[in-house]
Amino acid sequence: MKIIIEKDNRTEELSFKGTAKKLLEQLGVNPETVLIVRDGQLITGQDVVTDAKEIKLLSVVSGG
Amino acid sequence: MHCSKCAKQAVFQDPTLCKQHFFSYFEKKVKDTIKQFSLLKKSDNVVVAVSGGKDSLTVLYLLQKFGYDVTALAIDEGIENYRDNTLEDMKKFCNEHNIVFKIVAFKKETGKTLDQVPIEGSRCTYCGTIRRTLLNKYAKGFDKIATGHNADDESQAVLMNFFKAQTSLLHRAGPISEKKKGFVQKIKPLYFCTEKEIMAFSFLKGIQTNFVECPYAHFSYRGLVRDILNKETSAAKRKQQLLKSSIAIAHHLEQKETASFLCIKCKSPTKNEQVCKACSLAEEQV
Repeated sequence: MKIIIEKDNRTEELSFKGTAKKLLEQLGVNPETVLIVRDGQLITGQDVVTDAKEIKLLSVVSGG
Repeated sequence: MHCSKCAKQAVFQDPTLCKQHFFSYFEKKVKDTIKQFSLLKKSDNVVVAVSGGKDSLTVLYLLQKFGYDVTALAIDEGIENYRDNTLEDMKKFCNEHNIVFKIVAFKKETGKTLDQVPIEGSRCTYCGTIRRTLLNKYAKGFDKIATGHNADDESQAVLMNFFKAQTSLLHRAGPISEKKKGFVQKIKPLYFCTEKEIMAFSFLKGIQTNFVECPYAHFSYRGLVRDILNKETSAAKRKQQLLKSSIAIAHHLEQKETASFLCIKCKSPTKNEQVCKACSLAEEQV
Protein backbone atom coordinates (compact mmCIF):
# COMPACT_ATOMS: atom_id res chain seq x y z
CA MET A 1 0.00 0.00 0.00
CA LYS A 2 0.96 3.62 -0.54
CA ILE A 3 1.55 5.64 2.63
CA ILE A 4 1.52 9.44 2.41
CA ILE A 5 2.86 11.30 5.45
CA GLU A 6 1.73 14.85 4.85
CA LYS A 7 3.87 16.61 7.46
CA ASP A 8 7.15 15.21 6.18
CA ASN A 9 6.02 15.41 2.55
CA ARG A 10 7.00 11.72 2.37
CA THR A 11 5.49 8.82 0.43
CA GLU A 12 6.30 5.16 1.10
CA GLU A 13 5.26 1.86 -0.47
CA LEU A 14 4.92 -0.99 1.99
CA SER A 15 3.12 -4.22 2.71
CA PHE A 16 1.23 -4.15 6.00
CA LYS A 17 -1.44 -6.21 7.78
CA GLY A 18 -3.28 -4.96 10.86
CA THR A 19 -4.89 -1.90 12.36
CA ALA A 20 -4.11 1.74 11.62
CA LYS A 21 -2.83 2.09 15.18
CA LYS A 22 -0.25 -0.63 14.60
CA LEU A 23 0.74 1.00 11.32
CA LEU A 24 1.40 4.31 13.10
CA GLU A 25 3.51 2.48 15.67
CA GLN A 26 5.54 0.88 12.88
CA LEU A 27 6.03 4.24 11.19
CA GLY A 28 6.93 5.96 14.46
CA VAL A 29 4.11 8.49 14.12
CA ASN A 30 2.43 9.90 17.26
CA PRO A 31 -1.34 9.17 16.86
CA GLU A 32 -2.11 12.43 18.67
CA THR A 33 -0.67 14.44 15.78
CA VAL A 34 -2.43 12.87 12.76
CA LEU A 35 -5.75 11.88 11.25
CA ILE A 36 -5.85 8.67 9.25
CA VAL A 37 -7.46 8.65 5.80
CA ARG A 38 -7.97 5.23 4.21
CA ASP A 39 -8.69 5.47 0.46
CA GLY A 40 -10.20 8.92 0.95
CA GLN A 41 -12.25 8.09 4.06
CA LEU A 42 -11.48 9.16 7.61
CA ILE A 43 -11.03 6.13 9.89
CA THR A 44 -10.07 5.43 13.52
CA GLY A 45 -6.91 3.80 14.83
CA GLN A 46 -8.88 0.61 15.60
CA ASP A 47 -9.83 0.06 11.93
CA VAL A 48 -7.99 -2.54 9.87
CA VAL A 49 -6.02 -1.15 6.95
CA THR A 50 -4.80 -4.47 5.47
CA ASP A 51 -6.63 -4.06 2.14
CA ALA A 52 -6.12 -0.30 1.74
CA LYS A 53 -4.63 1.01 -1.48
CA GLU A 54 -3.65 4.31 0.05
CA ILE A 55 -3.23 5.57 3.61
CA LYS A 56 -2.80 9.29 4.09
CA LEU A 57 -1.71 10.73 7.44
CA LEU A 58 -2.98 14.29 7.77
CA SER A 59 -1.03 16.50 10.16
CA VAL A 60 -3.32 18.16 12.69
CA VAL A 61 -0.73 20.66 13.94
CA SER A 62 -1.62 24.34 13.57
CA GLY A 63 0.53 26.49 11.40
CA GLY A 64 0.68 29.54 13.67
CA MET B 1 -15.08 0.58 14.23
CA HIS B 2 -18.71 1.62 14.81
CA CYS B 3 -20.10 4.89 16.10
CA SER B 4 -20.95 4.79 19.81
CA LYS B 5 -24.41 6.24 19.03
CA CYS B 6 -25.42 4.30 15.88
CA ALA B 7 -24.28 1.45 13.62
CA LYS B 8 -22.39 3.59 11.11
CA GLN B 9 -18.64 3.56 10.55
CA ALA B 10 -16.82 5.85 13.00
CA VAL B 11 -14.72 8.68 11.60
CA PHE B 12 -13.37 9.83 14.95
CA GLN B 13 -12.10 8.15 18.09
CA ASP B 14 -12.41 9.50 21.65
CA PRO B 15 -15.33 10.11 21.37
CA THR B 16 -16.03 7.36 18.83
CA LEU B 17 -18.54 8.87 16.40
CA CYS B 18 -19.75 8.63 12.80
CA LYS B 19 -19.72 11.68 10.55
CA GLN B 20 -23.18 13.01 11.47
CA HIS B 21 -22.80 12.44 15.19
CA PHE B 22 -19.33 13.97 15.11
CA PHE B 23 -20.73 17.13 13.46
CA SER B 24 -23.41 17.38 16.17
CA TYR B 25 -20.86 16.79 18.94
CA PHE B 26 -18.40 19.36 17.57
CA GLU B 27 -20.93 22.12 16.85
CA LYS B 28 -22.53 21.63 20.27
CA LYS B 29 -19.12 21.93 21.91
CA VAL B 30 -18.55 25.30 20.22
CA LYS B 31 -22.10 26.52 20.91
CA ASP B 32 -21.78 25.50 24.57
CA THR B 33 -18.51 27.47 24.90
CA ILE B 34 -20.16 30.55 23.35
CA LYS B 35 -23.10 30.24 25.73
CA GLN B 36 -21.29 29.24 28.94
CA PHE B 37 -18.73 32.05 28.71
CA SER B 38 -21.10 34.62 27.09
CA LEU B 39 -18.75 35.06 24.14
CA LEU B 40 -21.29 36.63 21.82
CA LYS B 41 -24.65 38.35 21.60
CA LYS B 42 -26.75 37.72 18.49
CA SER B 43 -26.42 41.40 17.54
CA ASP B 44 -22.59 41.40 17.75
CA ASN B 45 -20.57 42.44 14.73
CA VAL B 46 -17.60 40.04 14.71
CA VAL B 47 -14.25 40.28 12.97
CA VAL B 48 -12.59 36.87 12.61
CA ALA B 49 -8.78 36.92 12.54
CA VAL B 50 -7.94 34.44 9.78
CA SER B 51 -4.61 32.79 9.01
CA GLY B 52 -5.86 30.46 6.30
CA GLY B 53 -5.52 27.41 8.51
CA LYS B 54 -8.19 24.97 9.59
CA ASP B 55 -8.80 26.68 12.93
CA SER B 56 -9.64 30.21 11.85
CA LEU B 57 -11.61 29.06 8.80
CA THR B 58 -13.63 26.71 11.02
CA VAL B 59 -14.44 29.64 13.34
CA LEU B 60 -15.45 31.74 10.34
CA TYR B 61 -17.59 28.92 8.94
CA LEU B 62 -19.32 28.14 12.25
CA LEU B 63 -20.01 31.71 13.36
CA GLN B 64 -21.58 32.42 9.98
CA LYS B 65 -23.56 29.18 10.23
CA PHE B 66 -24.76 30.13 13.73
CA GLY B 67 -26.12 33.39 12.27
CA TYR B 68 -23.53 35.96 13.39
CA ASP B 69 -22.47 38.93 11.27
CA VAL B 70 -18.83 38.08 10.38
CA THR B 71 -15.98 39.79 8.54
CA ALA B 72 -12.61 38.09 7.89
CA LEU B 73 -9.37 39.95 8.59
CA ALA B 74 -5.97 38.57 7.59
CA ILE B 75 -2.59 39.94 8.62
CA ASP B 76 -0.02 39.56 5.87
CA GLU B 77 3.34 39.36 7.66
CA GLY B 78 5.17 38.98 4.37
CA ILE B 79 6.56 35.46 4.61
CA GLU B 80 7.53 34.30 1.15
CA ASN B 81 6.10 31.02 -0.17
CA TYR B 82 3.82 30.80 2.89
CA ARG B 83 1.49 33.72 3.50
CA ASP B 84 1.00 34.54 -0.18
CA ASN B 85 -0.40 31.03 -0.76
CA THR B 86 -2.69 31.07 2.28
CA LEU B 87 -4.07 34.50 1.35
CA GLU B 88 -5.33 33.00 -1.92
CA ASP B 89 -7.01 30.15 0.01
CA MET B 90 -8.71 32.64 2.34
CA LYS B 91 -9.87 34.82 -0.55
CA LYS B 92 -11.40 31.76 -2.22
CA PHE B 93 -13.11 30.61 0.97
CA CYS B 94 -14.59 34.06 1.66
CA ASN B 95 -15.80 34.41 -1.93
CA GLU B 96 -17.53 31.03 -1.78
CA HIS B 97 -19.19 31.88 1.56
CA ASN B 98 -19.99 35.49 0.71
CA ILE B 99 -17.90 36.90 3.57
CA VAL B 100 -16.16 40.31 3.47
CA PHE B 101 -12.37 39.76 3.46
CA LYS B 102 -9.78 42.38 4.49
CA ILE B 103 -5.97 42.19 4.43
CA VAL B 104 -3.54 44.31 6.50
CA ALA B 105 0.15 44.04 5.59
CA PHE B 106 3.25 44.41 7.82
CA LYS B 107 5.05 46.02 4.88
CA LYS B 108 2.52 48.83 4.60
CA GLU B 109 2.22 49.34 8.36
CA THR B 110 5.86 49.01 9.49
CA GLY B 111 7.82 49.49 6.25
CA LYS B 112 9.21 45.92 6.32
CA THR B 113 7.95 42.42 5.74
CA LEU B 114 8.74 39.85 8.47
CA ASP B 115 11.32 38.28 6.13
CA GLN B 116 13.11 41.64 5.89
CA VAL B 117 13.39 42.14 9.66
CA PRO B 118 16.96 41.34 10.76
CA ILE B 119 16.31 39.25 13.88
CA GLU B 120 18.48 36.38 15.03
CA GLY B 121 16.64 33.33 16.39
CA SER B 122 12.90 33.49 16.99
CA ARG B 123 10.80 36.03 15.11
CA CYS B 124 7.65 34.89 16.92
CA THR B 125 7.74 37.59 19.64
CA TYR B 126 8.17 40.39 17.11
CA CYS B 127 5.55 38.93 14.77
CA GLY B 128 3.02 38.27 17.56
CA THR B 129 3.33 41.78 18.99
CA ILE B 130 2.89 43.53 15.64
CA ARG B 131 0.03 41.19 14.67
CA ARG B 132 -1.88 41.79 17.91
CA THR B 133 -1.50 45.56 17.57
CA LEU B 134 -2.66 45.61 13.94
CA LEU B 135 -5.53 43.31 14.71
CA ASN B 136 -6.80 45.59 17.44
CA LYS B 137 -6.29 48.66 15.27
CA TYR B 138 -8.28 47.30 12.35
CA ALA B 139 -10.95 45.72 14.56
CA LYS B 140 -12.09 49.15 15.74
CA GLY B 141 -15.82 49.42 15.14
CA PHE B 142 -16.44 45.71 15.68
CA ASP B 143 -17.87 44.28 18.90
CA LYS B 144 -15.56 41.25 19.15
CA ILE B 145 -12.45 39.73 17.58
CA ALA B 146 -12.79 35.95 17.16
CA THR B 147 -9.66 33.87 16.80
CA GLY B 148 -9.05 30.21 15.99
CA HIS B 149 -7.12 29.40 19.19
CA ASN B 150 -7.82 25.81 20.17
CA ALA B 151 -7.34 23.52 23.17
CA ASP B 152 -3.82 22.63 22.01
CA ASP B 153 -2.73 26.28 21.58
CA GLU B 154 -4.21 27.23 24.92
CA SER B 155 -2.93 24.28 26.96
CA GLN B 156 0.53 24.90 25.47
CA ALA B 157 0.26 28.56 26.54
CA VAL B 158 -0.72 27.52 30.07
CA LEU B 159 2.32 25.25 30.40
CA MET B 160 4.65 27.85 28.87
CA ASN B 161 3.40 30.48 31.30
CA PHE B 162 3.84 28.09 34.22
CA PHE B 163 7.37 27.20 33.14
CA LYS B 164 8.25 30.89 32.88
CA ALA B 165 6.16 31.96 35.92
CA GLN B 166 4.34 34.54 33.82
CA THR B 167 1.48 35.16 36.22
CA SER B 168 0.21 38.19 34.32
CA LEU B 169 -0.34 35.96 31.28
CA LEU B 170 -1.85 33.12 33.34
CA HIS B 171 -4.36 35.70 34.48
CA ARG B 172 -5.67 35.85 30.89
CA ALA B 173 -6.79 32.20 30.80
CA GLY B 174 -10.23 31.53 29.36
CA PRO B 175 -12.08 31.88 26.05
CA ILE B 176 -12.85 35.61 26.42
CA SER B 177 -10.56 38.52 27.20
CA GLU B 178 -11.39 41.14 29.80
CA LYS B 179 -13.10 44.35 28.76
CA LYS B 180 -10.37 46.97 28.60
CA LYS B 181 -10.52 50.53 27.33
CA GLY B 182 -9.00 50.80 23.87
CA PHE B 183 -9.07 47.06 23.19
CA VAL B 184 -11.68 45.15 21.23
CA GLN B 185 -12.63 42.08 23.27
CA LYS B 186 -11.19 38.81 21.95
CA ILE B 187 -13.05 35.52 21.96
CA LYS B 188 -11.89 31.96 21.30
CA PRO B 189 -14.91 29.80 20.34
CA LEU B 190 -12.70 26.72 19.73
CA TYR B 191 -11.07 26.99 23.19
CA PHE B 192 -12.05 23.45 24.25
CA CYS B 193 -11.71 21.81 20.79
CA THR B 194 -8.51 19.90 20.10
CA GLU B 195 -6.55 20.32 16.89
CA LYS B 196 -7.49 16.78 15.99
CA GLU B 197 -11.21 17.49 16.34
CA ILE B 198 -10.93 20.69 14.30
CA MET B 199 -8.93 18.95 11.59
CA ALA B 200 -11.52 16.17 11.39
CA PHE B 201 -14.36 18.70 11.20
CA SER B 202 -12.70 20.79 8.51
CA PHE B 203 -11.72 17.70 6.50
CA LEU B 204 -15.26 16.27 6.62
CA LYS B 205 -16.78 19.66 5.76
CA GLY B 206 -14.34 20.17 2.90
CA ILE B 207 -12.83 23.30 4.49
CA GLN B 208 -9.38 22.09 3.64
CA THR B 209 -6.62 24.41 2.57
CA ASN B 210 -3.08 23.84 1.44
CA PHE B 211 -1.99 25.23 4.76
CA VAL B 212 1.51 24.44 5.90
CA GLU B 213 3.34 25.21 9.12
CA CYS B 214 4.87 28.69 9.41
CA PRO B 215 8.54 28.37 8.35
CA TYR B 216 9.59 30.22 11.52
CA ALA B 217 7.54 27.99 13.89
CA HIS B 218 10.31 25.48 14.59
CA PHE B 219 12.34 28.17 16.34
CA SER B 220 9.68 28.65 18.96
CA TYR B 221 9.52 27.45 22.56
CA ARG B 222 5.92 26.52 21.85
CA GLY B 223 7.03 23.71 19.55
CA LEU B 224 8.89 22.10 22.43
CA VAL B 225 5.90 22.37 24.79
CA ARG B 226 3.60 20.98 22.08
CA ASP B 227 5.75 17.88 21.83
CA ILE B 228 5.72 17.41 25.62
CA LEU B 229 1.91 17.57 25.73
CA ASN B 230 1.41 15.24 22.78
CA LYS B 231 3.68 12.59 24.31
CA GLU B 232 1.19 12.25 27.16
CA THR B 233 -0.79 8.97 26.92
CA SER B 234 -4.20 10.57 27.50
CA ALA B 235 -3.20 13.82 25.79
CA ALA B 236 -6.72 15.06 24.94
CA LYS B 237 -7.97 14.67 28.51
CA ARG B 238 -4.85 16.25 30.01
CA LYS B 239 -5.25 19.29 27.76
CA GLN B 240 -8.85 19.79 28.92
CA GLN B 241 -7.74 19.43 32.55
CA LEU B 242 -4.99 22.01 32.07
CA LEU B 243 -7.47 24.47 30.56
CA LYS B 244 -10.09 24.04 33.26
CA SER B 245 -7.47 24.31 36.02
CA SER B 246 -5.96 27.45 34.49
CA ILE B 247 -9.38 29.14 34.34
CA ALA B 248 -9.95 28.24 38.00
CA ILE B 249 -6.51 29.57 38.99
CA ALA B 250 -6.81 32.76 36.90
CA HIS B 251 -9.53 34.13 39.17
CA HIS B 252 -7.11 34.04 42.09
CA LEU B 253 -4.29 35.84 40.31
CA GLU B 254 -3.90 39.55 40.61
CA GLN B 255 -3.53 41.45 37.38
CA LYS B 256 -0.50 43.63 37.82
CA GLU B 257 -0.22 45.55 34.59
CA THR B 258 -2.87 47.54 32.79
CA ALA B 259 -2.65 49.62 29.65
CA SER B 260 -3.33 53.11 30.93
CA PHE B 261 -1.50 55.24 28.37
CA LEU B 262 -1.86 55.90 24.65
CA CYS B 263 1.16 55.31 22.39
CA ILE B 264 2.40 58.67 21.09
CA LYS B 265 3.01 57.10 17.65
CA CYS B 266 0.06 54.84 16.84
CA LYS B 267 -2.40 55.89 19.61
CA SER B 268 -2.88 52.26 20.67
CA PRO B 269 -3.41 51.63 24.38
CA THR B 270 -0.15 50.75 26.14
CA LYS B 271 1.32 50.26 29.60
CA ASN B 272 4.33 52.38 28.58
CA GLU B 273 4.17 56.15 28.93
CA GLN B 274 5.65 56.92 25.51
CA VAL B 275 5.73 54.26 22.78
CA CYS B 276 3.89 50.93 22.71
CA LYS B 277 5.79 47.63 22.40
CA ALA B 278 4.83 47.19 18.74
CA CYS B 279 6.12 50.66 17.72
CA SER B 280 9.22 50.15 19.82
CA LEU B 281 9.98 46.81 18.14
CA ALA B 282 9.30 48.26 14.67
CA GLU B 283 11.65 51.20 15.45
CA GLU B 284 14.46 48.86 16.49
CA GLN B 285 14.37 47.24 13.05
CA VAL B 286 14.70 50.50 11.06
